Amino acid sequence: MVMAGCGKLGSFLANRLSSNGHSIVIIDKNPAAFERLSFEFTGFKLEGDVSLLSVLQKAKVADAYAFWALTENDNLNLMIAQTAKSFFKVDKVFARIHDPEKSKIFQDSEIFNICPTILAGEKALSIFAEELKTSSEDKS
Amino acid sequence: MKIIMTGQGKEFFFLCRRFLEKGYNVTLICKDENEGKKLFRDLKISVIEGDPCDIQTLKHAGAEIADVFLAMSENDHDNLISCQISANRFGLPRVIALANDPENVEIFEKLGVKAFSITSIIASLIEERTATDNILNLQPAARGLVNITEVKIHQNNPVINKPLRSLELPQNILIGIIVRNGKAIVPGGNNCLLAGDSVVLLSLPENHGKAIKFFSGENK
Repeated sequence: MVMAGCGKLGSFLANRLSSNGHSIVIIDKNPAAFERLSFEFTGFKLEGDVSLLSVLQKAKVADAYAFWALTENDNLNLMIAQTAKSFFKVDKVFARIHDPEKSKIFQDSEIFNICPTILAGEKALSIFAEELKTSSEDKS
Repeated sequence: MKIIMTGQGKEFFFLCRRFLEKGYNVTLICKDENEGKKLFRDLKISVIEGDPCDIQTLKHAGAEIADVFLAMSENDHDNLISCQISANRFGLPRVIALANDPENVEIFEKLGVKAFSITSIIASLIEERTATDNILNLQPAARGLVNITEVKIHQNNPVINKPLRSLELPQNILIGIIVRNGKAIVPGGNNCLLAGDSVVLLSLPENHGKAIKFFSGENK
């Protein structure tokens, strides 16, 4: 699989998936980002700008069974994810979208979009609700 | 026609002005406050400050009633996504994106967004200009100080059937040889050029363009 962006989320997923036996090519324009990868990571590192089609071609996106768009830029993630889906015909495509509004707009597309803001918000709400419940139980 | 535009730089500015002159209703979305103020001052049109991918900003710019959305920022991904949001969320009938990377044209079109590449347009213009069929041969001589060019004279060229002395030649150009029916003629002032002739021109590099223009019939 191909992963675009070796930030905190990218490196976390790359380390985990690589140790689970997935073969990964990870791309980042900043070679220092690869320092986030641990010894668990056995895949390939490619320095390049993922907004360029030629870089995605070099990473052999067309041969990948999954593509992850995990750069810091929502629009860039949406663009390369759609490129991976429509142009390179990748089966499973994931994109990280920070902005909940944008995440909603692109929800119907064939791309799995992960919105950390919504995920964190919902988790926080459920923890909060749980805490309220236990504290009211303690009182009674 | 109502058109919403986003972008920056000189080409963008002149394009806005051109559309205004054509009488289009133009609204600009501008990320940079200062650039926005400048455009507003110079063009006297409505400028909305904000992110062209933001729903509220688009609404504010009148995306619900616009006919065209044109995205010309320097980031291809911003152009694509703002076009897709305008089309999908507001049902804009025509969305057009600049593809800074010419390779993205094909991808954008595939994703339902009309796209163009300035690089490709300029490249094909230059090819067209340099590869005209009437320029047969170009040779630098004297270590590049002189150009020797053979130009074919076509039928509707305004230079034909006039004595050479009456032609208002650009400066620093010399007609070295006229080739007619396979024969080379060293011309004098009374010779005329005929359709089907080729002329061998000597020109200085800085006048080369003018020389070609003059003898390819582009001067009229």
